[in-house]
Amino acid sequence: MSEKFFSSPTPENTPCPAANRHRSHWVERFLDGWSVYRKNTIGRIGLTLLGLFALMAAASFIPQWVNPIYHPMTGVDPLISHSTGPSLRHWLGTDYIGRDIFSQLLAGARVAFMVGISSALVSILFGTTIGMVAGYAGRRTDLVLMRLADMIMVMPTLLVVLILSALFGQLNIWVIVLMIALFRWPGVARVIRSQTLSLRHRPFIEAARVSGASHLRIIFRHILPNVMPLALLYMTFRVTSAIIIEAALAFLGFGDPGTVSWGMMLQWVWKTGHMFQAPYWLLPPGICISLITMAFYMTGRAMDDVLDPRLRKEETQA
Amino acid sequence: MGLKRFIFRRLVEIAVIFFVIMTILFVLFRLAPGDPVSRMVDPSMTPEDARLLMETMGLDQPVWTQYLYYLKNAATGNMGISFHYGEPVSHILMNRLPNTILLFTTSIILSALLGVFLGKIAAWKQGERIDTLMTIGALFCHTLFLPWLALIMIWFFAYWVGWFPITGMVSPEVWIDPDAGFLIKALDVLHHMALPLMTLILIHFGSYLLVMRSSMLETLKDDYILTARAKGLDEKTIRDHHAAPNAALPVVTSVGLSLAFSINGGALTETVFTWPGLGRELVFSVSHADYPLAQAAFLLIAIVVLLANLVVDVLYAYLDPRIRY
Amino acid sequence: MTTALLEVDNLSIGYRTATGIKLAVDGVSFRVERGGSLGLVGESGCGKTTIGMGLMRLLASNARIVSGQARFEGEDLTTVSEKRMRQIRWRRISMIFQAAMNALNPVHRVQDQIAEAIITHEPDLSSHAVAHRSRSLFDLVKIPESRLRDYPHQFSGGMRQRVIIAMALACNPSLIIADEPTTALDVIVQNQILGAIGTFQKEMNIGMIFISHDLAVVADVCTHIGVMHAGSMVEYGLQQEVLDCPGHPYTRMLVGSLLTLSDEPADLAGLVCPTPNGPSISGGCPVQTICPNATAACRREQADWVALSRTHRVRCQHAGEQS
Repeated sequence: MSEKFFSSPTPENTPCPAANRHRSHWVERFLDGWSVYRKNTIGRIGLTLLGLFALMAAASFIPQWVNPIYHPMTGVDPLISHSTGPSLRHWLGTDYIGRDIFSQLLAGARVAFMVGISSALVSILFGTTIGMVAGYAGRRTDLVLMRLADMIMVMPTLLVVLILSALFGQLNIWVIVLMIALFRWPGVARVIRSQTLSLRHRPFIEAARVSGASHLRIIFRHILPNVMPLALLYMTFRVTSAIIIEAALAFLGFGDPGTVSWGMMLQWVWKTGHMFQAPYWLLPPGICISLITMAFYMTGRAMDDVLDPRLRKEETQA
Repeated sequence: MGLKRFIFRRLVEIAVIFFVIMTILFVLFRLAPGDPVSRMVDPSMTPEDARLLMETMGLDQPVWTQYLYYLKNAATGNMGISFHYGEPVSHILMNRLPNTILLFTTSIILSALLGVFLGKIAAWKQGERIDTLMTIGALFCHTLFLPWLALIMIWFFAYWVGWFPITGMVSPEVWIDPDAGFLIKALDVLHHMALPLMTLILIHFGSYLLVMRSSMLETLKDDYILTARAKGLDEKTIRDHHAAPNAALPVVTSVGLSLAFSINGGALTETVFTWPGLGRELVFSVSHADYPLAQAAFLLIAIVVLLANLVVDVLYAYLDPRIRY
Repeated sequence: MTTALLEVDNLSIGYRTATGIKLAVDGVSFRVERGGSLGLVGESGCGKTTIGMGLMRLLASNARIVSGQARFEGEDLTTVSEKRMRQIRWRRISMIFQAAMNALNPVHRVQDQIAEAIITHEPDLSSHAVAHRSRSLFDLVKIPESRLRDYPHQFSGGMRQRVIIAMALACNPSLIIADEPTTALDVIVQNQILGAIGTFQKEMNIGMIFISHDLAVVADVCTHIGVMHAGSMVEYGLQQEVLDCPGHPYTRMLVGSLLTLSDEPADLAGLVCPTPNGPSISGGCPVQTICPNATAACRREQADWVALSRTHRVRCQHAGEQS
């Protein structure tokens, strides 16, 4: 494979051959990884499930567009004003004030993705940066950062967000997302840090230093591409914990009252005492949360299998 | 020996961390919108009582002095009066603490034991049907949403089948009865504890099973396993006496790492099952704007988590002779 | 001719691969007398460890004994039941492994591990007797009794090896298979261990198979030497015979590579080629790629055994042709 890159003439105005090689290198690697991933049964199931949920999320706009009575939050059905079972009119039945459960489920999917992915992105951003800095900079910085990470890891995220909401009142969904991210980065940081530590002494880093590259450039140009696969892998795990924490918060009544999430649905079932009589209301949200968690976990595990041998191969290719 | 020094050092670390947490809370309480005084003193108190309380807590003093009062009060256990209960916060929480410890500790120990036991078998029979079954089962249980599982458990076992009580820790009749002996009371508590305990175990044993399984698979590659075989020991002895004790060590570490997750789960479980513990009190106080109680409950939970971490670390050091000696 | 303690006859051991059974040991035969010792020498991958494992029936799950016999005290080790093998293990044949950090279980005390070996095979012994024997074993290997209650990681490499030796002697076996027992140790400790092993062996009249890649070590301790390469045994004889008049080119190279303190620097015959794992060359002598005298006949088929003396035989087409 390397012959392909070395034999093609490098144009004069490209920054440097190595960087050029990186970009098409990436596409190749992705396609390579994809073909391995495809064979993994767990990964396939996981991805299928995720696709299903993504479809649900995308479709969440449809019900209320079809008929306003199907709006998850404000849909008022003139004919029904209490909890009913599944019917042709309402596929999964209605909640205690007659709102359609199925459209709530779809809206929940949208919220789950939103919360999960944005929270995971922020915590990956944080975690990767801090991890790289800790692994690359001197021992003192490393020590301080890792102590900080340890302290945060010990804290139970849910309870911290609880106490914060006590102080700051009812929380907006984005604030919740941010707070979850702020407490979930240590896990990523630790892994990225060890990867950075092992990369730090590789010849290509030394070469970059000798050629006068600044530390920042080294970190973002050379180390980041190598730790990126790992970061992306851990993102899948962050997504699941973000979704679960948001669901737990909503369940306890501390979620954003303006958003319909699966956790919120469970809260309604529970608090309005319909737990015992309305299985069609109780079961779907819980099943969805569990399934999406499983889906992300499966995807993550399959990615892990793909990346693991490749990570090692990566270290020799630089 | 080294162990005592180790414990001492960790206790100092815990004190530092706790100190930091307290300070952060202090700052947050004052930064948050609204009148900080109304957070400490119940607005519905009589003016005289309010003034007395303010003096004890130093709320009429400049911020720095308040901080010192805050620390002093925390050290002496005076965390204010609960808005809701009207009693000193420390009384309430000390009452709740044993309940949480009981449920929490029992659930962790039992799920760890179950996970180790099943994980050992799964690894031993790797690739066979029972291994696949257990791995999938563990994964399935691990991804269940805890509050939802709790509701399902209540629905099924308490409502439908009626075997267990729906809420609470004790049946009032039993506890008020002067003739009821300790055994009856203990059985009553166990009866109430069964459902929350089962829920917690179901959620947590999965990850311990998976850790034990992969740890066991690694251990089986070690040289001393070959030595054990060469000694003519039978398979069961090799598995249980040689491999499992070594493989169980990472599980202990895993317990320590997932303590925060466990405490989250504990709070949720207590809330759903109305188990009168610290977690439930925290949730309750936050939703009722009972600030003194909320703050104290949080701090107490923080100490419990930190000390639990220490206990797990000491346990690991005790179990692994390479650390002890 | 007295009955040997162990008589291995045309033993072949193979691994199951995607493309069929690949032999790691091909038709190996040797004897070990009571109180005698055989050194199995060869490069890594030549199959010597596999022989040791095969005799104890401790092969990996994808390996099996393909053919041959191993007659030990009246039983054929290749065909006895697993249950009987467990009884034989350690009680009649024990092993000394490399002093790797993990050869002993890290979470059990050393005395417990030794006691376990004893109790498994002599369950009727009182705990007092077991303790007494543990103590005398430690005396034997010259480790202070106070160390009995220690854990394996508290011992240095050399002492750990002595513990392993003590454990191997615990049930008074008739045969000990020592697999690279000194490889992980420095030269001085190596010497001590070799001395210890030699002493016990003679005093307790134990037969030994000493597996090593180091001809110098084997030369010290063993009465017989068997040279292996790529799964086959290429030379077998008394220690003096093999060392002084090596009949096989490969043995000559091995002997030639031994550094001596003699006045002339010996010609170091370097072995430069990578060793194939097992007989991968289809037919022909396993040494053909590195032998300077290989001919077409060597490439065609492997030679039969040629006896150079009553006790010394060589497997080479050109045996006896060179001085």
